[in-house]
Amino acid sequence: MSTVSSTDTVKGAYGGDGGALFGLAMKTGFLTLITLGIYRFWAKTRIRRYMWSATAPGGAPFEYTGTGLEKFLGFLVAIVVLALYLGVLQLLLFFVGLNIFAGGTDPQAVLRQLAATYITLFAVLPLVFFAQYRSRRYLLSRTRWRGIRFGAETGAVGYMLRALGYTLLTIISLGLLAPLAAFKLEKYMVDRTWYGDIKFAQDGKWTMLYGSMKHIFIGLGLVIGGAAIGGFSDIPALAILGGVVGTFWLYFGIFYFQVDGFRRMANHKKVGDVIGFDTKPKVWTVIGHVLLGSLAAGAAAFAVILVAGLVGGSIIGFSSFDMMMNPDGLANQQPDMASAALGGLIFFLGYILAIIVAGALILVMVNQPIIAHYVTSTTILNASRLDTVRQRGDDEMVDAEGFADALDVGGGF
Amino acid sequence: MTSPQSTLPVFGGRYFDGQTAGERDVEVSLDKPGGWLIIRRDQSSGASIPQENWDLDDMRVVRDHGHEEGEVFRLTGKDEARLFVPNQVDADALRDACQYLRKADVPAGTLSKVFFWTGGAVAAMLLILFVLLPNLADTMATLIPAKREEAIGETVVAQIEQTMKFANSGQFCSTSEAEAAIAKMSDRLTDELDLPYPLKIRIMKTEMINAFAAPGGHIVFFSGLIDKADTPEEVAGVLAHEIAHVVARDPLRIALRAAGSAGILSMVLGDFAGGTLVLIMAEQVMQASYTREAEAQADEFALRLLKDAGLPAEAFAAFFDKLREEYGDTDGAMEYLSSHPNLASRAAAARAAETQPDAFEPVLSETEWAALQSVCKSSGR
Repeated sequence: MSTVSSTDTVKGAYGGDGGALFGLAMKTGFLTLITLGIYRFWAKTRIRRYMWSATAPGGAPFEYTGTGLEKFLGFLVAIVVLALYLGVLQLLLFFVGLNIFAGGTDPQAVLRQLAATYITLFAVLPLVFFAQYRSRRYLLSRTRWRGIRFGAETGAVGYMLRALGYTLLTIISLGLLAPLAAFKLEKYMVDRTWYGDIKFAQDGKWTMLYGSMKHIFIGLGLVIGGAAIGGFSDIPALAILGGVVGTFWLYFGIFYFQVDGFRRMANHKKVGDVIGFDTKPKVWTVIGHVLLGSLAAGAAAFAVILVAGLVGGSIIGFSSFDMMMNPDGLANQQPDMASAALGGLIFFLGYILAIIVAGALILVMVNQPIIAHYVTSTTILNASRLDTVRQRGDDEMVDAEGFADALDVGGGF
Repeated sequence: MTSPQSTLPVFGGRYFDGQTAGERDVEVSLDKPGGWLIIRRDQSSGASIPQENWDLDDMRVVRDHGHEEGEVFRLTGKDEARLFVPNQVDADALRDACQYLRKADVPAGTLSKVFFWTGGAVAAMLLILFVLLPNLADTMATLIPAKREEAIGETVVAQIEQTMKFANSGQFCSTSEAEAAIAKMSDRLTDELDLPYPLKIRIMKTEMINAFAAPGGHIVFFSGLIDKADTPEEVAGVLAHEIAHVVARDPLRIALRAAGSAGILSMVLGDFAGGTLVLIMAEQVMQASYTREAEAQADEFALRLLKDAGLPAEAFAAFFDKLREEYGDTDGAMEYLSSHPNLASRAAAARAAETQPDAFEPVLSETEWAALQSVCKSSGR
C-alpha cells in the first residue's frame, strides 16, 4: 500500500542544507534587528518551518504550520498576564522577605536581607515549568507528518506542580533521585502526546536512567574523592588532579546523559501500542558538533568585531591625522566629531553583525547537525500501523507559545 | 475536468489526504490551459479517491522548506490534504503554472485585530508598570511598621558600609562636636515636623560629593560633600532634601517598586542582537521615572523646610552649581536616563523659591562649622 519496506520500518532522514539555513538565519536575523526584535516571532517560525520540513522519515517531510502572527499575538497575551502576576507576586514576596529577614548590621544579616531580594526569583520558577509544557503543546499542535497533526492534552498546571515537587525531591536527595525526576516528567508529557488518533506512551523504568547518569556520578566522585583524599593525605596535587579530571568528566557526563538518556527513553516509547523506535545516537558525534560549532561561531564573531574595530578605528584615526596636517583648518572640531560618530557606529554595527553571525553559525553547525544526527540514527518500527492513523481535531491556543517566548524558555529555535 | 489527455504533462506524486496517515502514490497531470491540477490514484493501488481536481489559483506551496528535492503543495483555506512532488523538475514545472503559490492567506480583519491587541497590550503594560505597581508598592510601604523599617535601614547602611570600605575610606567618622553641630542643624529643620522615627544622621569618609537616605530615617553624608561646601547652609539644604525623602518614605517605596517591576521589561523586549543595550536603556528610563518624580518632590519639600527654618535657598542652589561643575549635567535626551532632574533646573528652582531673601541667622556658628568640616580629618575614624 505504501512505501514501507518488507521489514515494516521507516528510516529517519534529514535533508537540511547548511548554506540554505545559514542564509535564512542571517536574513531573519537582520529583519529582527531592524524591527527592534518584533520580527523574532516570524524569524523563529521560518527557521522551524525549514528544520521541520528537512526532517523526512521515509522521504515524507514534516510540516510546521505555526505562524509568526499567532506567536506575536500569543506573546502579547502572555506578557500582560505575566506582568500582572509577576509584579504583584514579586512585591508580595519582597514584602514578606523584608518582614522576615530584615534587621541587624553583621555581614550575615546583610546577606540575609540580600537573600530577601532574591526570593522574588521563586515567583518565576513555577511559570518556567508551566511555559515549558504550553510551548511543547503548541509545537505539537503545529506539527504535521504525512498530513496528520500531532497534539498534546492540556496539563500545564499538573506538569508545573509535578516539576516543582520533583525538583524539590532532587535537591533534597542531593541529586540521587534526579533520574526519577527526569523520567517521571518526561513520562507525564509523553503519555499526553498524540499523533492523530493514536497516543504515545512512555514505558520502561526510571531506574534505567541511572545508567545514563553514570558518568555524571563518576565526575562528581572524582571531584569530591580527590578533595577528600588530597585533604586527608596532605597532598594538594591529588585534590587538584581530581578536580580537573572530574570537571571534564562531569561535562562529558552531562552530554552522555542527554544522548544516552534520549536513547533509552526513545527506545521505550510506544505509539498506539505497536509503533516503536530504535535509535542509536552517538555521544561523541554530538560533542564534536558542539565543540567545532562553538569554536567556529566564536572565531567568526571575533573576526567580525576585529574588522569592525580596525575600520572604525582607522576612520577616527584618519581624521586626527588630517587635523594634524591642517592645524588651522576652519572646521577643526566638527569633522572630528562626525568621524568619531561614524567610527563608533561602524564598531557598533560590527558588534551586532557578530552576534547575528554567531547565532546563525550555532544554528547551522551545532543545532542542525545534532538534530540531523538524532533523526538519521532513528528508525520507526512497525510502521505499517501508520497507514490507518486518523486525523485529530485542531488545538486552538490563544496564547500560542507566548509564555515560553516571554520567559525565554526553550532552545534557540 | 475532463479525463487527462495524453498531451498533458504527467508526473508522480505522493498524496496525503489529511484524513489518514496512509500515503498514496498518485499520478498528477497539469492542465495548464484549463487551470486545473488533476490528481489520480495510481492504477496499482486500491481506490478510495478516484480523482481530485485542484484549482491552480488556489494552490499554495509550503515555504522555507529544507528537503533537498521537491515541493509540498496544498490548497488555500482549511483543506488538509498535501501533495508532495518529489522530483524537482516536476515541482518546478508545477510552480511555473501556479501564480499565487506564495500568497499569504490573511483573513479579513487581521490588521485591525493586530492593532487592537497591540494597543491593548501596551496600554495594559503601562497601567501595570506606572499605575498599579507603584501604587501597590506605596501601600505596602505604609504596612511596614516604623520599627521594622528602621531595622531594614540599619542593614542597608551596613551593607553600603561593607561595600564602600577599603583602604582609607568608607568608615563612619564621629566627634561629639560634629554630632552636636548636625543635631543643631536637623533640629532647626525638623522643628515643626512630625517624623515616624528619629533621624539617625551619620558621616562616612569618602571623597564623593553625595548623601543618601536609607529606610527608617537613616541619613548618611559623604565627607566629600561637607569638605567641598563653602557654608553650613549648603549642607543644611542637602539635609533638608534627605529629610524630605525620609518623610515621604522614598527609600522603602522605591525599593518595593523596583522589586515589583524587576524582570518585566526584559521579558517584554526579549533577547535579540543588540537587545541588551535597548533593555538597559529602557530599564533605566523606567527606574529613573520613578526616582525623578521622588527627587523633584523632595526638592520642593526641602525648600519648604528651609523657608520654615528661615534659611536661604541660595546656598542650596549654590550646591547644585557645585555638583554641576564637579560631575557635569544631564541635558537633552540624556535627562530621561538620569535618576535625578537636571541640575541647572534644580538650581534655578531653588533660586526662584527665595526662602529667605533677607539677612538670616547662620545655621551653625564658625566654630561649630569648623568642627563639622574637620570630623573625618583629625580622628580618621
